[in-house]
Amino acid sequence: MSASEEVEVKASDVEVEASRLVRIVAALVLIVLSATFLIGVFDIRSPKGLDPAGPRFFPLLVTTAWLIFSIAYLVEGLRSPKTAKPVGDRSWFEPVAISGLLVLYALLVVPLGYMLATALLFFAAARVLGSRQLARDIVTSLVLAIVVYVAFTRFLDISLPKGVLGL
Amino acid sequence: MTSLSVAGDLLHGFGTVLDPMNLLWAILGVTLGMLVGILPGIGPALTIALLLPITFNFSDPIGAFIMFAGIYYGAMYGGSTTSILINTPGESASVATAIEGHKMALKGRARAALATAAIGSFVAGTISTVLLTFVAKPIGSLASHFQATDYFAVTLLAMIAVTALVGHSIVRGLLSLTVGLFIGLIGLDSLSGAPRYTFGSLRLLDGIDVVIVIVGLFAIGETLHVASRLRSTPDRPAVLEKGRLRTGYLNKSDWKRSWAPWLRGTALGFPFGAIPSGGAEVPTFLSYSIERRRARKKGRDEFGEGAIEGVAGPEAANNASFSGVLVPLLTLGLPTSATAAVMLAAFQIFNVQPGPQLFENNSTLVWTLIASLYVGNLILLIMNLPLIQIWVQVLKVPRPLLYAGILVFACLGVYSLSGSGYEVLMALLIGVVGFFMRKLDFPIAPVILGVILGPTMEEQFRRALVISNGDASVFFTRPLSLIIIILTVLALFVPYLPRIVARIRGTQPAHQRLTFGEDD
Amino acid sequence: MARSRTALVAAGLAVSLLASGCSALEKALDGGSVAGDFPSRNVEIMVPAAPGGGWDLTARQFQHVIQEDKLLPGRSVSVVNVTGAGGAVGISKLVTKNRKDPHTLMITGLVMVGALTLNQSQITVSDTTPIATLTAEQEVIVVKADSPLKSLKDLVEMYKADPASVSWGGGTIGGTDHITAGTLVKAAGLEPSKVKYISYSGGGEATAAILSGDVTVGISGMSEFEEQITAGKMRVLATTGAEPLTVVGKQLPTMKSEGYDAEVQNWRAIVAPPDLPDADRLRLIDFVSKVNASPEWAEIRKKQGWTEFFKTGDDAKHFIADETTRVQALLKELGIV
Repeated sequence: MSASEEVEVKASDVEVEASRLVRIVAALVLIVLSATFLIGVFDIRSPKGLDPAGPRFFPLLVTTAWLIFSIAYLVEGLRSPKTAKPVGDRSWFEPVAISGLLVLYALLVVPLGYMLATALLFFAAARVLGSRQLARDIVTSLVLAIVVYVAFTRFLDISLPKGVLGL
Repeated sequence: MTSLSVAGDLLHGFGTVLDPMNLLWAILGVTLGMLVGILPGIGPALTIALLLPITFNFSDPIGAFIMFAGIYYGAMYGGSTTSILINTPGESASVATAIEGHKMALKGRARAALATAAIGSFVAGTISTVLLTFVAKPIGSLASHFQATDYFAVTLLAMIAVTALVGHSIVRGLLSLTVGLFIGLIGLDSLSGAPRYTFGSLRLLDGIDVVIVIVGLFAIGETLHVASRLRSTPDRPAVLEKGRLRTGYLNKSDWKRSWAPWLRGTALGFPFGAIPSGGAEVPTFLSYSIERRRARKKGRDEFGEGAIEGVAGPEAANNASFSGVLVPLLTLGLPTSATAAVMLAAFQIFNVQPGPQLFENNSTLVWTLIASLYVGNLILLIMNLPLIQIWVQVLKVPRPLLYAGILVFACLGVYSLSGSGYEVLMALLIGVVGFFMRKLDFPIAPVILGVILGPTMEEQFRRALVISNGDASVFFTRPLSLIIIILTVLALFVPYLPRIVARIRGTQPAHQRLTFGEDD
Repeated sequence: MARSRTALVAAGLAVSLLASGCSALEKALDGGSVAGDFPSRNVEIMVPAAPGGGWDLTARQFQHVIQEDKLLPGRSVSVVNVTGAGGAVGISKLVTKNRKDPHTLMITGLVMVGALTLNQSQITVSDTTPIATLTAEQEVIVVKADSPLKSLKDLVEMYKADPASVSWGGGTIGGTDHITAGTLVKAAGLEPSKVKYISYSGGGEATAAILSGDVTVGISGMSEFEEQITAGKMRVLATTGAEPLTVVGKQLPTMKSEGYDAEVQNWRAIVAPPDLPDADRLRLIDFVSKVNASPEWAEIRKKQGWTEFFKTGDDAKHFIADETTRVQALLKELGIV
């Protein structure tokens, strides 16, 4: 088995991708979040009387468990060997750009209309993900957007925004 | 009801269903179901609800119900396709399938995974329909005996029994689970009406739909993950192992490893479908856990790298759950899942009232529906085995286009839930969480489990306590609850029993085959 | 470096948008529409809930009648589902986004009045322009067939003796079923705050809880329990409307006939956005009256077990205002807000 194939097989989640530092930071974030939510339990309106456990009981249980496991995760991270290195160089550009596209899509799908916004999303996402065949990308994005729009509004009666095209 | 008269009624039902028009409805339903099962977020419940107005124009309700039944199990099967090929389950019942199924696809075994899913669905669908045919009434009465304490005990049992989902690291697995449980807490508390963790937002009062969590964690999370690796892993189609074998898409060992999980999956799916708040998800997770434990005991633990048992079991379980769901629906008029609730509405539109008298009053309708399940299952199999060749072409789509397409359908699925871009942002936020979970090697499935089981568990626990005015002994004084709780304790300790006994005796255990769910 | 700059901009955009607060964001995400004389555009009926429920069914049947009878020549009617918080998301969209627009209508009902109260919403149904109330459904109070409670009086006596001994099972908290329980207890001159109400999602769950003996008494719409009643698995203690209902040839008692002066109807109405020009309002009332008078609509009402409950304009407005006041007070007394 060649080296590249090995990467392919193990790709999803077997390998350790994150460095020790990243894991420690993640553990700290989890601790802060769970502690905040644990404190937040006491802001939950709790009508007294008829419900013995009440709406605070499970949140208390869950956030406490979360906090405990987060601390355990921090300890695990601190104890891990410093030498372990993350695999490969990972790029941050694409995930950030895709996230940005989705935010724009969420904002623009109603004003622009489903077809236009979706065609733009598909086209932009394909380009960000490395597609370099302009004609193919444009055609695919238009066809996909139109087919989906027609199929859903005509056959399933799901209403999708018409937007500027007014169709 | 004697089995002879059952056979007669059923034959009559077959007579009706084999009418060309009705066959057409069945084919249409199965096809539509498969499509919506593949699309993330658009599940069978929504589809049937949207198709209801169209069926007003049907003069004969039988055609409509044949189609609805087709949609349901078509969707159950369709969900497995995307789970296996691109690790993006469309609904919660396919999450367990994704775990091993996608690993199989990565190893070039997509065809075998799809085939075991299709055949498993057929086997489970057929066996559970036989069960529905002959034991509908006794099983149906089960649902009307379950009380809050029993439901709580069942969810507890399920939670404990699926610990195998936790994966390599206990800490990370449990963290995933608690995050899922937390997500389940968000929204208006159903029992007191108090808002919890809604941060003043109206949208959060309803909680976060499990579909958004699934689409976010899987479809969007996976896309972001793949996006970050594009440069280091060049775009090339996944390798597929050689096509047709003499034994179909499955080789001899696949058949040998699949048949028992199919049967066990069926045995789990059917009863869970039949009890309220059982649904299709819990049995898939249970089936996965049991198969995993058994494999480990046999010393052939391929789980985590694409074990076929992990696809065969859950896929059988989710299909079997449908016939299970029909049991209380037809015999008691009790819908135990969202789709069943919509189907109940459909029955009522046609002035058919499911319930104790349905089998007497609308015998033709019921038996035709049951007959259509046999036929529909067969149609599903016949259509899907050849379709596997087409589905696997998805793997050859250039990755930029494939993942751009996944984003489009993910957005469509969550957008159609509420008709607002807000859900898209919510799914993105969860997708970012899913991205980091992948980076940090956290298992994803326990989150879904937490979102699904958490709220039920809390609701039933608190209902039981309200009803008993705070007396916690109710969990141990009802025989049914007590039995389930004892089973739970066994599920916790039995796997370790041989070791404990051996420790006491001071010897090595002879064989470690004692495990929960053992049946041979 | 152009790439990483783009990434930075995108990241900045994402973060600032997420941070700019939910309500501002919700505004941007939903879009709006413009006004004009009715009917000068296609009409949209908003269902403030997911497909498949009672409001959705009402809207889709309404749409069906308009199309069948061609009541809007040259224009189409579409149904749009805006889910969230028992209708709070839908109504806030109608009130803030569609002011003065007669082409966006919304289905509402008693359930929304309860949900808005429970959510402590600033918006009430009275903030819309009521066009007409359409239908009403009676509630029914049942027990399991082998329950020792034989009449509504037995139930009230049991509650009087020990409120904690009665578990009331029904739908969403603050919904019609819960309101019914509170109304009955109040009409009997007892304390509603002691009502041990257990909410279930959907009729199926509640039916199972009644049949398994988990709860003492169940409350829901007639359609949920009808089959069990016909099959003799449940006994009706009372229905809640003014007119007695008949099931399998037997006339059922009402709360009134049992001596408790109260009435609860799960009504549904159709409303328009606020600040509607009077001319448009009158045209809409006229239009909805046409639908209501259609034989098709009568047929649908019969099929669904809805009774006609048609009040238009100011009558509808006053009715909705009265119901709002009553429900707000009752939910307070039930101790949930």
